[in-house]
Amino acid sequence: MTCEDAHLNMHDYISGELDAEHYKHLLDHMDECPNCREFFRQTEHIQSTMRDFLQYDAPSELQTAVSNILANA
Amino acid sequence: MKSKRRKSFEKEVLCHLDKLFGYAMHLCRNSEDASDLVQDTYLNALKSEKQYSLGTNAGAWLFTIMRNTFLNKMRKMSRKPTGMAGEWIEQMTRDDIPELSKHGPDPGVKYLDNLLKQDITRALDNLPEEFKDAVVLCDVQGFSYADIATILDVPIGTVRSRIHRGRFILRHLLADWKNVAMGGG
Repeated sequence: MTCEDAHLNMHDYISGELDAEHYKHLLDHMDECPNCREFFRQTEHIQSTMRDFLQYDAPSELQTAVSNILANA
Repeated sequence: MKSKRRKSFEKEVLCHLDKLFGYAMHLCRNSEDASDLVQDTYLNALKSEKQYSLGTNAGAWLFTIMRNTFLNKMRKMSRKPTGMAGEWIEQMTRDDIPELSKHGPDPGVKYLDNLLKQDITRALDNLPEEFKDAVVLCDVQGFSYADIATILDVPIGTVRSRIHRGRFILRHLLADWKNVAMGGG
Protein backbone atom coordinates (compact mmCIF):
# COMPACT_ATOMS: atom_id res chain seq x y z
CA MET A 1 0.00 0.00 0.00
CA THR A 2 1.31 3.45 -0.91
CA CYS A 3 1.05 6.43 1.46
CA GLU A 4 -1.50 7.91 -0.94
CA ASP A 5 -3.72 4.84 -0.65
CA ALA A 6 -3.19 4.78 3.10
CA HIS A 7 -4.45 8.36 3.40
CA LEU A 8 -7.57 7.58 1.38
CA ASN A 9 -8.25 4.54 3.55
CA MET A 10 -7.64 6.56 6.72
CA HIS A 11 -10.30 9.05 5.74
CA ASP A 12 -12.76 6.26 5.00
CA TYR A 13 -11.93 4.62 8.34
CA ILE A 14 -12.46 7.87 10.23
CA SER A 15 -15.79 8.23 8.40
CA GLY A 16 -16.76 4.70 9.48
CA GLU A 17 -16.76 3.53 5.86
CA LEU A 18 -13.72 1.24 5.63
CA ASP A 19 -14.20 -2.53 5.34
CA ALA A 20 -12.22 -5.00 7.45
CA GLU A 21 -9.89 -6.09 4.66
CA HIS A 22 -8.77 -2.56 3.78
CA TYR A 23 -8.50 -1.75 7.47
CA LYS A 24 -6.04 -4.60 7.94
CA HIS A 25 -3.93 -3.33 5.01
CA LEU A 26 -4.02 0.14 6.52
CA LEU A 27 -2.80 -1.14 9.89
CA ASP A 28 -0.01 -3.08 8.18
CA HIS A 29 1.06 0.06 6.34
CA MET A 30 1.01 2.20 9.48
CA ASP A 31 3.15 -0.34 11.32
CA GLU A 32 5.83 0.42 8.76
CA CYS A 33 5.25 4.14 8.19
CA PRO A 34 5.64 6.60 11.09
CA ASN A 35 4.57 9.57 8.93
CA CYS A 36 1.23 7.95 8.08
CA ARG A 37 0.82 6.91 11.71
CA GLU A 38 1.23 10.50 12.84
CA PHE A 39 -1.02 11.82 10.06
CA PHE A 40 -3.70 9.34 11.11
CA ARG A 41 -3.41 10.28 14.79
CA GLN A 42 -3.71 13.99 14.03
CA THR A 43 -6.56 13.62 11.55
CA GLU A 44 -8.51 11.49 13.99
CA HIS A 45 -7.80 14.05 16.73
CA ILE A 46 -9.10 16.93 14.59
CA GLN A 47 -12.26 14.98 13.81
CA SER A 48 -12.99 13.99 17.41
CA THR A 49 -12.26 17.54 18.62
CA MET A 50 -14.60 18.93 16.00
CA ARG A 51 -17.33 16.48 17.02
CA ASP A 52 -16.90 17.36 20.71
CA PHE A 53 -16.88 21.13 20.18
CA LEU A 54 -19.70 21.47 17.68
CA GLN A 55 -22.49 19.58 19.41
CA TYR A 56 -25.48 21.74 20.30
CA ASP A 57 -28.54 21.32 22.49
CA ALA A 58 -31.67 22.95 21.11
CA PRO A 59 -32.71 25.88 23.36
CA SER A 60 -35.76 25.16 25.55
CA GLU A 61 -37.83 27.81 23.71
CA LEU A 62 -37.15 25.98 20.45
CA GLN A 63 -38.09 22.64 21.99
CA THR A 64 -41.40 24.16 23.08
CA ALA A 65 -42.00 25.78 19.70
CA VAL A 66 -41.36 22.54 17.81
CA SER A 67 -43.56 20.55 20.21
CA ASN A 68 -46.33 23.08 19.56
CA ILE A 69 -45.86 22.82 15.78
CA LEU A 70 -46.26 19.05 15.97
CA ALA A 71 -49.14 19.19 18.48
CA ASN A 72 -51.14 21.66 16.42
CA ALA A 73 -50.66 20.00 13.05
CA MET B 1 -57.25 12.21 18.65
CA LYS B 2 -53.92 11.53 16.97
CA SER B 3 -53.51 8.48 14.81
CA LYS B 4 -50.96 5.83 15.69
CA ARG B 5 -49.00 6.78 12.58
CA ARG B 6 -48.91 10.44 13.58
CA LYS B 7 -47.67 9.58 17.07
CA SER B 8 -44.91 7.39 15.63
CA PHE B 9 -44.03 10.08 13.11
CA GLU B 10 -43.70 12.73 15.83
CA LYS B 11 -41.51 10.45 17.90
CA GLU B 12 -39.22 9.70 14.96
CA VAL B 13 -38.76 13.32 13.92
CA LEU B 14 -38.56 14.87 17.38
CA CYS B 15 -35.50 12.88 18.45
CA HIS B 16 -33.42 14.69 15.78
CA LEU B 17 -34.10 18.15 17.20
CA ASP B 18 -30.67 18.75 18.78
CA LYS B 19 -28.82 17.56 15.68
CA LEU B 20 -31.02 19.66 13.42
CA PHE B 21 -30.34 22.69 15.59
CA GLY B 22 -26.60 21.96 15.34
CA TYR B 23 -26.77 21.78 11.56
CA ALA B 24 -28.89 24.93 11.48
CA MET B 25 -26.24 26.72 13.57
CA HIS B 26 -23.67 25.63 11.02
CA LEU B 27 -25.82 26.94 8.14
CA CYS B 28 -27.07 30.17 9.73
CA ARG B 29 -24.26 30.96 12.17
CA ASN B 30 -26.57 32.51 14.75
CA SER B 31 -29.04 31.03 17.21
CA GLU B 32 -32.07 33.12 16.20
CA ASP B 33 -31.94 32.26 12.49
CA ALA B 34 -31.06 28.67 13.34
CA SER B 35 -34.17 28.36 15.54
CA ASP B 36 -36.32 29.80 12.74
CA LEU B 37 -34.81 27.35 10.26
CA VAL B 38 -35.50 24.40 12.56
CA GLN B 39 -39.15 25.44 12.92
CA ASP B 40 -39.51 25.91 9.15
CA THR B 41 -37.95 22.49 8.67
CA TYR B 42 -40.52 20.83 10.93
CA LEU B 43 -43.35 22.72 9.22
CA ASN B 44 -42.10 21.53 5.81
CA ALA B 45 -41.64 18.01 7.14
CA LEU B 46 -45.28 17.98 8.25
CA LYS B 47 -46.35 19.12 4.77
CA SER B 48 -44.39 16.20 3.28
CA GLU B 49 -45.32 13.70 5.98
CA LYS B 50 -46.93 11.30 3.51
CA GLN B 51 -43.63 10.98 1.62
CA TYR B 52 -41.94 9.57 4.72
CA SER B 53 -42.13 5.84 5.49
CA LEU B 54 -42.10 5.17 9.20
CA GLY B 55 -39.06 3.37 10.50
CA THR B 56 -36.80 4.49 7.65
CA ASN B 57 -34.13 7.19 7.82
CA ALA B 58 -35.80 10.16 9.49
CA GLY B 59 -32.46 11.89 10.11
CA ALA B 60 -31.38 12.01 6.46
CA TRP B 61 -34.93 12.96 5.42
CA LEU B 62 -35.09 15.87 7.88
CA PHE B 63 -31.60 17.11 7.05
CA THR B 64 -32.50 17.09 3.35
CA ILE B 65 -35.59 19.15 4.11
CA MET B 66 -33.55 21.54 6.25
CA ARG B 67 -30.93 22.05 3.57
CA ASN B 68 -33.54 22.65 0.87
CA THR B 69 -35.44 25.02 3.14
CA PHE B 70 -32.25 26.94 3.81
CA LEU B 71 -31.25 27.10 0.13
CA ASN B 72 -34.74 28.27 -0.89
CA LYS B 73 -34.55 30.99 1.73
CA MET B 74 -31.14 32.06 0.45
CA ARG B 75 -32.43 32.14 -3.12
CA LYS B 76 -35.32 34.34 -2.09
CA MET B 77 -32.89 36.66 -0.37
CA SER B 78 -30.77 36.53 -3.55
CA ARG B 79 -27.58 35.73 -1.78
CA LYS B 80 -25.59 32.61 -2.13
CA PRO B 81 -24.09 31.05 0.96
CA THR B 82 -20.37 31.49 0.57
CA GLY B 83 -17.28 30.68 2.53
CA MET B 84 -14.40 33.07 2.98
CA ALA B 85 -12.09 30.97 0.89
CA GLY B 86 -8.90 32.69 -0.18
CA GLU B 87 -7.26 32.21 -3.52
CA TRP B 88 -4.95 29.54 -2.22
CA ILE B 89 -7.90 27.44 -1.06
CA GLU B 90 -9.40 27.75 -4.52
CA GLN B 91 -6.15 26.36 -5.81
CA MET B 92 -6.05 23.57 -3.25
CA THR B 93 -9.49 22.40 -4.27
CA ARG B 94 -8.60 22.01 -7.92
CA ASP B 95 -8.43 18.44 -9.15
CA ASP B 96 -5.00 18.77 -10.69
CA ILE B 97 -3.11 19.94 -7.64
CA PRO B 98 -0.64 17.15 -7.04
CA GLU B 99 -0.35 17.81 -3.30
CA LEU B 100 -3.97 16.88 -2.82
CA SER B 101 -3.58 13.42 -4.23
CA LYS B 102 -0.11 12.83 -2.84
CA HIS B 103 -0.87 13.72 0.77
CA GLY B 104 2.81 13.56 1.52
CA PRO B 105 4.02 13.60 5.07
CA ASP B 106 4.27 17.00 6.68
CA PRO B 107 6.47 16.64 9.74
CA GLY B 108 6.37 20.43 10.23
CA VAL B 109 2.85 20.15 11.68
CA LYS B 110 3.54 20.06 15.39
CA TYR B 111 0.77 21.96 17.09
CA LEU B 112 -2.43 20.20 16.14
CA ASP B 113 -2.89 18.58 19.55
CA ASN B 114 -3.84 21.86 21.24
CA LEU B 115 -6.95 22.80 19.32
CA LEU B 116 -9.52 25.24 20.68
CA LYS B 117 -13.15 25.62 19.73
CA GLN B 118 -12.36 28.97 18.11
CA ASP B 119 -9.66 27.33 15.95
CA ILE B 120 -12.11 24.72 14.69
CA THR B 121 -14.90 27.23 14.11
CA ARG B 122 -12.62 29.63 12.26
CA ALA B 123 -11.16 26.89 10.10
CA LEU B 124 -14.61 25.58 9.19
CA ASP B 125 -15.79 29.11 8.36
CA ASN B 126 -12.91 29.37 5.92
CA LEU B 127 -13.75 26.17 4.08
CA PRO B 128 -15.68 26.54 0.82
CA GLU B 129 -19.33 25.64 1.44
CA GLU B 130 -19.36 22.40 -0.54
CA PHE B 131 -16.49 20.99 1.51
CA LYS B 132 -17.77 22.38 4.79
CA ASP B 133 -21.21 20.82 4.30
CA ALA B 134 -19.76 17.39 3.64
CA VAL B 135 -17.27 17.57 6.52
CA VAL B 136 -19.86 18.80 9.03
CA LEU B 137 -22.42 16.16 8.02
CA CYS B 138 -19.81 13.42 8.32
CA ASP B 139 -17.57 14.50 11.18
CA VAL B 140 -19.99 16.42 13.39
CA GLN B 141 -23.36 14.86 12.60
CA GLY B 142 -22.02 11.35 11.98
CA PHE B 143 -23.91 10.60 8.75
CA SER B 144 -22.77 7.88 6.35
CA TYR B 145 -21.52 8.75 2.86
CA ALA B 146 -24.80 7.38 1.45
CA ASP B 147 -26.90 9.62 3.72
CA ILE B 148 -24.76 12.66 2.91
CA ALA B 149 -25.17 11.92 -0.81
CA THR B 150 -28.95 11.99 -0.27
CA ILE B 151 -28.86 15.18 1.78
CA LEU B 152 -26.57 17.07 -0.61
CA ASP B 153 -28.04 15.45 -3.74
CA VAL B 154 -24.65 14.48 -5.16
CA PRO B 155 -23.07 11.08 -5.96
CA ILE B 156 -21.33 9.16 -3.16
CA GLY B 157 -17.97 9.52 -4.92
CA THR B 158 -18.35 13.29 -4.76
CA VAL B 159 -19.17 13.10 -1.05
CA ARG B 160 -16.08 11.02 -0.40
CA SER B 161 -13.88 13.36 -2.38
CA ARG B 162 -15.29 16.46 -0.67
CA ILE B 163 -14.74 14.97 2.77
CA HIS B 164 -11.16 13.99 1.98
CA ARG B 165 -10.34 17.35 0.48
CA GLY B 166 -12.26 19.27 3.13
CA ARG B 167 -10.35 17.56 5.93
CA PHE B 168 -7.10 18.13 4.08
CA ILE B 169 -7.73 21.88 3.76
CA LEU B 170 -8.98 22.06 7.36
CA ARG B 171 -5.84 20.41 8.60
CA HIS B 172 -3.63 22.83 6.68
CA LEU B 173 -5.57 25.85 7.87
CA LEU B 174 -5.30 24.70 11.48
CA ALA B 175 -1.64 23.79 11.10
CA ASP B 176 -0.77 27.18 9.62
CA TRP B 177 -2.58 29.12 12.34
CA LYS B 178 -1.32 27.02 15.19
CA ASN B 179 2.18 27.18 13.80
CA VAL B 180 2.03 30.99 13.78
CA ALA B 181 0.29 31.17 17.18
CA MET B 182 2.85 28.87 18.78
CA GLY B 183 5.76 30.71 17.19
CA GLY B 184 6.79 27.83 14.95
CA GLY B 185 8.47 28.21 11.62
